[in-house]
Amino acid sequence: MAGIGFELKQILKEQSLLSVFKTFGYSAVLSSGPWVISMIIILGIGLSNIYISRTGDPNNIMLQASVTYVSALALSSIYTGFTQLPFTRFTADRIYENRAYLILPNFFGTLIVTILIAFAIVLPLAIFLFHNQSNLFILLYIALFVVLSCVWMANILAASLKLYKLVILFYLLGYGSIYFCSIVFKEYQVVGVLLSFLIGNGILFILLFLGIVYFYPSSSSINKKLVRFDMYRQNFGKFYWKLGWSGMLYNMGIWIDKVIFWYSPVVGYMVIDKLHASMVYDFPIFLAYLSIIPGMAIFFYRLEVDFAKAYDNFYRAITKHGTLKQIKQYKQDMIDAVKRSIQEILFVQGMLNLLLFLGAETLFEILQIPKLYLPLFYVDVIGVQLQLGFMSILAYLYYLDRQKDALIYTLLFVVLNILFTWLSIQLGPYFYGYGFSVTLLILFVSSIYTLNQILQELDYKTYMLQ
Amino acid sequence: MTVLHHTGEPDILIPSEGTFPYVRGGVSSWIAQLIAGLPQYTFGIAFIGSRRKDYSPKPLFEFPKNLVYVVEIFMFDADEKPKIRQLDGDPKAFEEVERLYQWFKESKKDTPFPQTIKSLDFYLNTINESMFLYSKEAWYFTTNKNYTNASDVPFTDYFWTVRNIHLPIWKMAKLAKFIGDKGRILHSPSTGYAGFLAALISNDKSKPFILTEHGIYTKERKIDLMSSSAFTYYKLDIFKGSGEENYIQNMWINFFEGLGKMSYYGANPILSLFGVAKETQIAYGAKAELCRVIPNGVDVKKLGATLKNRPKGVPKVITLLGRVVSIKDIKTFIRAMRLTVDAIPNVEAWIVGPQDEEKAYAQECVELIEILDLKSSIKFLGFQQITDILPKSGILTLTSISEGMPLVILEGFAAGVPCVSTDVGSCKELIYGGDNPEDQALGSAGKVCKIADVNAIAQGYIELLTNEERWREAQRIAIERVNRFYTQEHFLDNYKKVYEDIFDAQDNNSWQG
Repeated sequence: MAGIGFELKQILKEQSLLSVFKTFGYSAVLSSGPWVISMIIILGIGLSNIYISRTGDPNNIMLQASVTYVSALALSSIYTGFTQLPFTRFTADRIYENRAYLILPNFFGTLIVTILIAFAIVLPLAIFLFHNQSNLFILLYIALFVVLSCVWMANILAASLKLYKLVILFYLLGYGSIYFCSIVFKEYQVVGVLLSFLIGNGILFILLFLGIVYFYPSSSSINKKLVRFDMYRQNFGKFYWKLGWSGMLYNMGIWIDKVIFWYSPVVGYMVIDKLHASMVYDFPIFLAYLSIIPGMAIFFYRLEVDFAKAYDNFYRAITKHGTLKQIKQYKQDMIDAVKRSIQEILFVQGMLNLLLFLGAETLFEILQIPKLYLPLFYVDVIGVQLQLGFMSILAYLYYLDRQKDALIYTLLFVVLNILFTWLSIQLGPYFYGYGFSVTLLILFVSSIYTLNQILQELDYKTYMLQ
Repeated sequence: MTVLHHTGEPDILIPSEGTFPYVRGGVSSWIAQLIAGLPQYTFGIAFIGSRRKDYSPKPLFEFPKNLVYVVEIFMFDADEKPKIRQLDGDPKAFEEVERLYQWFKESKKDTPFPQTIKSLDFYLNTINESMFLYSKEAWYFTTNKNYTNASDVPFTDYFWTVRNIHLPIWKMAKLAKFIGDKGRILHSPSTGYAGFLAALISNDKSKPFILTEHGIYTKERKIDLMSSSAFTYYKLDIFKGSGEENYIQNMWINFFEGLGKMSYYGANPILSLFGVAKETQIAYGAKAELCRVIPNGVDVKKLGATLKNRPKGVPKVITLLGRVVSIKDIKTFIRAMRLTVDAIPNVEAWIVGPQDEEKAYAQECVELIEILDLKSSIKFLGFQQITDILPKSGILTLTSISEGMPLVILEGFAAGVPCVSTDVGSCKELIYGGDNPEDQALGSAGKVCKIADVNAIAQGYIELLTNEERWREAQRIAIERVNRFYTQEHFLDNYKKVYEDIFDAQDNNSWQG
């Protein structure tokens, strides 16, 4: 008998179980979500510290401490931004393969690498930045940078356990102790406040770390090592460079407009040695960040409930004998979920913005901020809202494993933010804040377009281009 | 694709789909016999396989001197896949595909084959492989077809079926371009993809295309499909609409019928091994005036020499020569043996052939033997020399549900072994005599039974083994029939004549493509 019929059947059988769907689903969200939450909390506390201390102590001590802390925060988030997403993806891949026992040893490995590189970065940096400060100050700064880097890494992994309540509790405990310590160490001035930040973050890190050790499997018959460096050795496929770069660029994009303002001659001024701040720019935008909490909550809910379910259905239909009609239907459900989440963010944030706009004057009076900042605050509120929108789209892009698109958009974020912020400074005080907001408007609109394109072609690409 | 062997330029190119030199069986023996028997011509082989790993790592046959060219392609291996890139595709080109589908569906054999689709250029340039695999237009085409024709079928199954059916077409087009200049004659031993390849080259280079069909390819694919579990859906029977469950099977069947038509349309002459096969070809769309029968032949001298090794009486051994696969229906043989052993306790059954092709089926056979308590009566002997086995056998048997022209029956005849067989392929013609009245007058060389008719088959064994006179008569008829009608010389002369005629016509420029 001639012919290859029998083999054809075998091939068909194997192919019907469509090979692998690379997704790291919720983990992409987790890496950006808790990050923003933590930043808001940190900024909120930082801000309140500043305003509370305003009346009593010489204002300068609190300001110096806060600026120092914010610099450590920004730099460490940019630095760990490079490993956060690749590590999340590494974790998700191992869970997908049912090899969760590899997560804890690799977490230890990643922490070791993070700490070593953090030292290498921060040692010269601290000496460079603080040439007039005591050795103790420099030592505290170094320690703070290292601990914060560890907090970021622990944060994403802890969040992947979806124990949101617990994570929030840890944050409250951590920042509560900062507040408590800062009162105890009052007499040591700036160094005392820095020490408080270090202790509080240390506690936060330890709590997150314990949570991770408690909930991830710590022993297995297959792996006997306590510490592993699989991600760096590329033992399970290549390191996700694109994710690394886009994570880092995203964090740079978030900070770059602030940095430009800090170091611009007219709007920025020196606070402590080489660290600058910008009274004009900083207060309104940090205050505006607080306003996106409700929008974030909505986004997480929609992503976890609607989108994740539609996404799951879509791939289930493909792998488990769904008809074309079902597949198309679930694709449409995904598009609808995205649409709904964006609509709701815009709607709820819009309502909140309206309230903020109406109540801003009173709010500023209560906080004793000069009303001069009001127009900038309005623009920032819009800008921050757009940033939330952009962040949501990025999360969808990560979810759909569109690393290249995410990389391009985060790169654009940095470039446009530099460009428009510089332009806004050139144009004068009336345009402050527009640089940041216009950047995010452009990114938000164009990334929606990209996402739509991707979702529309999802079935075609899933089947035809693999 | 890889050129495996190249020592000269072939006169005759044989596209070999899943047979010589990587698979043993009737067709590959036939190819080997043809090449070895006609040393005045040089031959080339284009082996078409599915994946490298589906075949033995080394060729199973030694290459004779006049086999001067061997090329192989494994259509589903990853390295044969073009680089993935997004494409829009050309909507016009897919209208042509639509026309081809129409032609496939129309069963009238007189409808002319759409000219554009016949040319190699269509597959290499108009719709190339990348366009078929990756373009949006191809996606629209596939999904639209799914919506209109099979919206209830699981789409992933549908999609891969469409891909797997069509992909080889582009592989064949590439191969056709690669080997277009090899050989002055194309001689395909089957329709299917091999026939399609021959038709493409024949059309492109105006070369004569001879088709010798052994089984009926389209029919064999049907049996493959019906017995396949890859096509069962995970849907409860009561929820199925009538006919729905078979849609994907039907896609394959229609496709293979279409491919078959393409071969029949391009080939001249269309040869078959026996009368019934010829009729089937005509029914599937071959032009009757192009169809002829050239039966297989065996080396009667070599096999006849084994007669002197036979023991005096009738050996109480029933031999089944063939692979242990479902199409050979070994289980029916085992069941028939139960009845036979009841009547003749000291009878033995030998199953001679490889068991590794369908391992699950082979295992089922072993279990059936245990259940029927036949362990001491039935032996699996694996691969053996027929010259050793035949003299020790009393009856040769085949219980297949499909056969072409089984050489083993003729080999058995030449070695003086009568045959009990199911009524498939040319078995009836071989055992009871063909259309030729002289042949029929010889009488019966065994017994022909209905497929899976365990009782009749067992009766056949018992009759022959208990009645020595009848056995002697059947042996005499068997030997005479094979010597008069089915010798290797006869077979080779026939093909020599076919080739000569075409070469002569080519030399006189009178061959019409």
